[in-house]
Amino acid sequence: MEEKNQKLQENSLSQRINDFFSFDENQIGSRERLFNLVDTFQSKTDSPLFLIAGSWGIELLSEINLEHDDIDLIVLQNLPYYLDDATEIEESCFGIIPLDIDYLKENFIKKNIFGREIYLPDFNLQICLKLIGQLQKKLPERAVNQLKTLLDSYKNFDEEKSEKEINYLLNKLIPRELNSLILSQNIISALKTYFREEKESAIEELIRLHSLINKSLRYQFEKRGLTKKIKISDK
Amino acid sequence: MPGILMSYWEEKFQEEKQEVEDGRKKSETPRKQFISKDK
Repeated sequence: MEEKNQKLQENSLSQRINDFFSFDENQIGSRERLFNLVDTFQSKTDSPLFLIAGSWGIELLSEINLEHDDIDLIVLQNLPYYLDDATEIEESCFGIIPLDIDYLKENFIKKNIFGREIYLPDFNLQICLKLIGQLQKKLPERAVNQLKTLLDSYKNFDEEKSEKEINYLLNKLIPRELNSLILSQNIISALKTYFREEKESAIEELIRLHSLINKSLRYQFEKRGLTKKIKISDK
Repeated sequence: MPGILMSYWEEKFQEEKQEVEDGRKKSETPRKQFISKDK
């Protein structure tokens, strides 16, 4: 019974965060809203309840100011859940992120920002989400700049560990018709090129890999009739 | 993150869960191999 209650409580966390976003009067995507969120939920516990992803994840990790449309979160409940505070139907998202909860609980970065403990996805997860989550045919300039900011702040790059982690992530997040092992090797190779200061050539390769993933995702969306729900930009 | 991608992930998650339940796929993941050093 106690276990059941704990599960119910965990699974209602995303709902409680959604309710918080509905009532919080700070501007969508703002720093005030983000800190209010952390103060309301995260400050009451020592272990992460959610990871801050998206552009805020990159800003907090790199300590470089970026523009923000929304606050993206990975909620660490029984089934990990992705949600943001956007209100426009085409921009807002909420749903299961098909990653192992133990993986997310073991692989995060903790930062202390203005006395608050803030938990962020690690570099490899943020890179993968940037390459997968942009559904334009070409990786948009804004995402490219965020990716560069992320890579410029990448610490403790471990080629072998990163390749395994990226392979795990791609295997879970992209269509099976793509070879996640080869793709992760290509991403690692692009990262190494970037860290050798051949940044433009590395970014070109990452744009190519994004395009490859995007093409395969579009095919899956069309096959499942998902494109009828939301139009994908052809830019 | 666009909602269309979330719909796709939901389906992918359900498919994989079904495969694990049917015994067609092992549920273990190799995640232990890459515990973060960045905490």
